[in-house]
Amino acid sequence: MSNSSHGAQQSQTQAKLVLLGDMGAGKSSLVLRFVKGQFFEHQESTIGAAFMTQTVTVDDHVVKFEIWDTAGQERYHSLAPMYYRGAAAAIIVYDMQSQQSWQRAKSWVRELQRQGNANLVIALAGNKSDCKDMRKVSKEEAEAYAEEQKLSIFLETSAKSGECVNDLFYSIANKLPKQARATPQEGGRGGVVLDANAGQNRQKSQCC
Amino acid sequence: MNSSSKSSSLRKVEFPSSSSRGGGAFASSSSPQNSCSSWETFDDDDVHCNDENDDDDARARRSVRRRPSLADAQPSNRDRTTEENNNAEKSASARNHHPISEDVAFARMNKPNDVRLRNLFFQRDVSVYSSVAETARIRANTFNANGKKPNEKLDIRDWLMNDDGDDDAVVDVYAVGFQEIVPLQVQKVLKVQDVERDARMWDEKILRCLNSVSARNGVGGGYVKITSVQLVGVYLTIFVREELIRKGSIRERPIATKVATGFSLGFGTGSMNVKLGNKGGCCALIKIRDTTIAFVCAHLAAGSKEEDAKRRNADAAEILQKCVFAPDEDEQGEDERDFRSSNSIRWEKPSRTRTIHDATVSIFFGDLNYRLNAPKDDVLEHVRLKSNEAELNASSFRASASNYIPLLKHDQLLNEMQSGNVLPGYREGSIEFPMTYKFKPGTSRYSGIGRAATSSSKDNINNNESDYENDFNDEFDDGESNSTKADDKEEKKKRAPAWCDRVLWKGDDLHLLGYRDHDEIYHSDHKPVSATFELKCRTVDYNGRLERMLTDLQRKLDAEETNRAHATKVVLESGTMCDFGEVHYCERVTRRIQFKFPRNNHGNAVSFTLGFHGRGGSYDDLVNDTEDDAPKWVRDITPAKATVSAETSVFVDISAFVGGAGTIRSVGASNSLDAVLVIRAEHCQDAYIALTGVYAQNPIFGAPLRSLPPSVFPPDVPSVISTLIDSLFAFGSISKNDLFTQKSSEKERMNAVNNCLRLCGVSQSAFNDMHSSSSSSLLDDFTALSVMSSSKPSSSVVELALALLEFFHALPEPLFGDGSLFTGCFRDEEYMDEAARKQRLENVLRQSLEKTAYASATYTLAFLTNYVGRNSPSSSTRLESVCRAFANAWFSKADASTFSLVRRQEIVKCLLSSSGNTAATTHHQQLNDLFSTTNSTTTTNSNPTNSAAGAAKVTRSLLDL
Repeated sequence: MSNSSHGAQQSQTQAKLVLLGDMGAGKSSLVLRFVKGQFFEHQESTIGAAFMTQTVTVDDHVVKFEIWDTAGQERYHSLAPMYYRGAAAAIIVYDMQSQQSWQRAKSWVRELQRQGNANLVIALAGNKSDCKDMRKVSKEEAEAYAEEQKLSIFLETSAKSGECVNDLFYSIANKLPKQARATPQEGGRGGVVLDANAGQNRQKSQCC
Repeated sequence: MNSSSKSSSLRKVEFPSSSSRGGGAFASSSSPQNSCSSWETFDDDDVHCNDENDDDDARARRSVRRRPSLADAQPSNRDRTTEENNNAEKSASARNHHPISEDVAFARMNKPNDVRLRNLFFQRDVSVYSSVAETARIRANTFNANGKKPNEKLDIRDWLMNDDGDDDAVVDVYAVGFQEIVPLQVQKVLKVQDVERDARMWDEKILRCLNSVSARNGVGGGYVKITSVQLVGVYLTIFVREELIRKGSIRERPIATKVATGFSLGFGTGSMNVKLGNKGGCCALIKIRDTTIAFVCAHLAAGSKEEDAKRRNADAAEILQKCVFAPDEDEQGEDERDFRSSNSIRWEKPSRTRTIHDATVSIFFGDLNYRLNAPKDDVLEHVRLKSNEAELNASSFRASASNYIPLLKHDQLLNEMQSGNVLPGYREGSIEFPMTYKFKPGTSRYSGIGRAATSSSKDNINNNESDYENDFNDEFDDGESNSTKADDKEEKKKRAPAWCDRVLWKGDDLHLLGYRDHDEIYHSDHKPVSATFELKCRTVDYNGRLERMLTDLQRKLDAEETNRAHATKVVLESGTMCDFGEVHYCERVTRRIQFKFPRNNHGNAVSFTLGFHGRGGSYDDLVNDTEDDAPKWVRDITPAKATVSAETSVFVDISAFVGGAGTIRSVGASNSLDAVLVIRAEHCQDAYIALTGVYAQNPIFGAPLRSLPPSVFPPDVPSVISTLIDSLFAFGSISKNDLFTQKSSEKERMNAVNNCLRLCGVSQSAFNDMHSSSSSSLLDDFTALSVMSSSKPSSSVVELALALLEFFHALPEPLFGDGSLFTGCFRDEEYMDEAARKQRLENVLRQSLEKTAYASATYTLAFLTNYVGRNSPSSSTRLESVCRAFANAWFSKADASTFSLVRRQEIVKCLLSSSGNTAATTHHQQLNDLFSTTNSTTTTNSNPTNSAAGAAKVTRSLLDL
């Protein structure tokens, strides 16, 4: 092992990530697949919101996601701002087998854009890609929409098969640090907190 | 003895705890700090680790899936605590297993400060993230030279190279440790040059021997010295096969250091520099591939008394603790630099200061000086009995292992190690050679056994170096009588033979091949000892397996954190919903929710708060926004915060109440009452209760003015206003001074609203029924009903007045809005008399308000003017109360208004004295006249129906006009 390989600049980002979307779109399943690698056919519906953390490493950067998995039922809508406020990233999930779910996703996009955090990384995830025959929302349509709305990420995922689930979270992690460094979050309650210890690593690279 | 039999006969029996661990590790289980060690053997560690992962996952899965019931919350937490403690202990003991130092590992992990990750990392086995790239043969040789220089005759070849093994595999690393390389006399010790000269003599001799043999055997390249370190008499020098450097197996510059123990020269000044260094250790760290090997050559405290063993323990601990390998230490001697420059090889500089704990494996050897815990005379007698009487030498004694094996049970080192008092984690091969000390120099006879003072003591060799023969060493340490050169005395000291010279090791990657003494060396009063090892040299799979392992560990930690956040869950005994059903205007609906907190390990008392905020970023951050997010229609939460006992049901009453324009607005067009109540308690997951209900829209209160059915007369005035005002007249409001002064309670408001509805001929439920059918028909019905009221208002005039105020309060848009329409009236107010301002205000009203609003305003104003009266004694108090009440009812609430309350009151007052709508005024006058006569004949509260009917009659008659 050469010495130069372990002196890389390290930093850690803490990022609040919120999942939004219609009920039954698969938000909790996506999180469960990502965090635990599990899938339950009959995932019970979320009440209020659920919290999980997951740390990922992208290149030399560590991102600790603090994931808020919100309830999709309309009655919990009033909670949503609590969770997307100050978030660094949001995943808007829709069920590609449901037009209603797709419409709801679009309204979430609007809501997020209205609340005006320009730094928010918005990812659009068309879930349940494992059964494409039942598809009601075409990939092209969603892609075009994501592009038009300048969403950072669009992926079709399957919490059931695991397809693109990690990609989704890692893409977000990839988009985060740059943005976090570029502008400090407004309002003092930014979703991204660079680790105070970053860069204080006493061990510096010493090559002869 | 062949090597395989030796290595397989490691001393398992004496350390029963090690058997469970396999691999013959007797190291740690008896020592307290190692009691939880989870070292695994290498043969099947992949399996082990996978198992462990599975267990972790399974545990995480269990605790998440099985929404923790009350019963198991507590024990599971307690388990976790002890588990964490264990982990900490494990990590302390498991470090030596890792071929990469922790800093390197964590540099790779990008997370240098996470202690939990670090601890987890050190519980994992190296084989998870590294693989064996090559094996190296390592030979550790130790020799207490008794202060004698090497001479030509001394043949060290067997000692250096012969391990009795069948295979003649080439040794890659020779670590040669000396003790008493110089005689431990004060004057000698201080002559640094002499000391160094002697060390160099040994180096030359060794190198010559190694290279001559390797040349003869055709081993290419020969050996080079790569580092050495000397502490007075202790000398550690390390030779490696050039090939290892050339092919890049050894790339990093070795670091050497020394730790002095023993006497302090300044007698208690305490400074390290004046430690005499008559005892101590020399340490070196070399790295083959990613495996770091520490060599510690030690000379521990001497002395045959039982308590001296403790001093040796302390010495060993001190050496290990103080041995710090600083990378900045000057480059080593000339010889090795020459070798490298001639081969254009540069050492990589060690990246940081290391300690012995950074070593993957370590070999601790030297004259450890441990004796036998048995009476000296008994030991000597035993040796004498077992030896050939005539020879009295070790050769006959060593002929049968049964001669010395029984003595091993008295060996201090074995006993101390077994008790965990010294060198925790280290192991030793089984001793199959006789005691290595103390011999008569030049012989293989144990000192103190034969008849005193034989003349043979100085025979054979070393006569020319007699000045080195004093054993100052023991004089320093034992504090016995001053030295004498006489062998007589030496004989009389009668030291019991002991296994002073030992080789111990630590680390599962080392495999002992041979462990023996070399009785052919007559040079000293000690016999040399050697041990041969095979070392698995690992390379770390940084980007593959290490990274995967770290990702897995991180995942595990995240799961733990998630589980902790979810540790306790509120039990919602009344469910996750709280339904208020249909909520009517000004009608409070109260529901009771019930929940309890399971017991957790944070004590029995739980403090909770109920609100509409959850937690923010990370789970423990509360959202502390100042803005009140509680929906306006949620009236009371009692208690909103409290401290309760766990496992006790908590009852909380929550009310829904819709009253006034603000709440109606908050309900919104959907008329649905929706909010999520968050129950928050420390160490507890947030619980959410969905509050739900339907606001039963009111036909009058909260409806926009224009949507209300107009009265027949006066035109444009909504019938509800005219009805209320007519009724007020009818029921004798004029005689009541406190019509608008009373503060209304919620209940009074509700009654007022209901009475008003009844007066207007609608009940809320009737309205809702109608509403569901068709709105146009409703309006028709309503118009009819409002005029042809057949209900019996039991209301007092105060309630009617209240209803009037409530009506204005409930308007979606206040009658005068935020008041900005009047701004112009006050522009140059100084030059304006009251009449002029009145004129202006009236103009503004006429021009700015749409006609229904205008009609409503003027009609009400006319009534109020009438009520206040002109010159009656109560006029001023009435005026004041009316101004105050309507300044609030007609304008937006305080902070949304353009004007202060005082100014608003002024406006109302001004308007009151005006007589804008003459028709309305006339109408009121007539009404007043009519009812004042009626009232004079009837008591105030009598027969209101007649009065209402009378009012209706009057209204109709006026309409006819």
